[in-house]
Amino acid sequence: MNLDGIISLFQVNKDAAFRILFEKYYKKVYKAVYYLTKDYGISEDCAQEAFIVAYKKLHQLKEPEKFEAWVCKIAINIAKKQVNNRVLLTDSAGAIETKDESHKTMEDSLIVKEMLAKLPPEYRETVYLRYYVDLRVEDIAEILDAPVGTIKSRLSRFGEIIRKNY
Amino acid sequence: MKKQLTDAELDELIRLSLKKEAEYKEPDMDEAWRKFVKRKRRKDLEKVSKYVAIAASFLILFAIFAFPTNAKAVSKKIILTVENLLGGNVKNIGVGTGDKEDVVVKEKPVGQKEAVTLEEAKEKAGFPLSIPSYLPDGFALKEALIQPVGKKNIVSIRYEGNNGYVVLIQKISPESHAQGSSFDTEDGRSEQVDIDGQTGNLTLLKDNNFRLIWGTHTSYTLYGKLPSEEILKVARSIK
Repeated sequence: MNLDGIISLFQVNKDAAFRILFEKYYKKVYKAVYYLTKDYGISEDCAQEAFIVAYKKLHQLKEPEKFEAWVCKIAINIAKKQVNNRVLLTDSAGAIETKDESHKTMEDSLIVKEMLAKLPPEYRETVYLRYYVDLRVEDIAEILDAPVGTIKSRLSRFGEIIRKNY
Repeated sequence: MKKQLTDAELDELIRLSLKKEAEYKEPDMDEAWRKFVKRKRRKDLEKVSKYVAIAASFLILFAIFAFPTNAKAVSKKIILTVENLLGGNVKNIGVGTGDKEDVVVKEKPVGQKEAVTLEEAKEKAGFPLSIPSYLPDGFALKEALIQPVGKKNIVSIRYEGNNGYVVLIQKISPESHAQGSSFDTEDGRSEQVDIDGQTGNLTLLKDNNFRLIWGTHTSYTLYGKLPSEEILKVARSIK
């Protein structure tokens, strides 16, 4: 069932329709918060709260295809309120898993991590949402309240930096 | 200088690097949905509570003006009705002595908790301290704490064993008193039990957790984690 269908079903059977939305998007919302908090408990709390808000305000969503971006945005905003975003996005030193990795893979990962650490927070957030949470550029633009062109430009700039240092 | 990355290779490199940086375990979806339903129900109840509380306030004010002589009785009925309405899945239980309507909740100064030996607790409590003569195998005294609340003391004694623990809290209540607790009926059940002629309320929660309250002039709360068959044995041995 596509999103239009699910949202239509919501008008007649809220719980059944919302269960489908929950099953489809909860993991991604959870992941979108986890990249910020690196804490399972806070991620769960924020994701759950975001779906509560979404349940109450679903009738306000004019474009069903934006549901994923909308609910991710709610969750991320809740997470940012709970924790200091600036600290979270810069506090990942030493988190790279090195077990069973080849030297080259480790080196490549370090390059990406180092370059990412040097970026301004809004660039880092864009990169995480694109490559870690796996969201579309249009959805990231919606979440970060920025034009699609700006998001593309941030991603392209990051690509250039990696290529230069690779 | 290394080889030039293609777009696809670049994407893959960034994706893998970030995945390594923030590896996470996926949530259990059934558990997540169960928690969501529970949270939603609680939020809905909170919303209803607000409206019911406002409506009840208006009804009480109305009762005071319309039936000045019977206002207290009318108000009590309204409050009881509101309690039932708001109950939902949350069950409130309580025990006490004296006239329930005469129990007035007063704010009392609460002092610091002090770790003491059992002997010191007996000396300082200000009332005859009761101790369980039966404990499950392997259980031993972990700590005793005493805390002044107003002019009286509350004594808490904790015992721990291999697979559980039990805490006995006791305080003296020479006049009327009431004590209670609440729990979600999805998480447990409560029943009335007899403890040497006194009626107690036993709430059995998940994973062998429990709370038992009883008492007349000394009020007891026994809580912890014990197999259900052991709870009353411990409670009935408290002398």
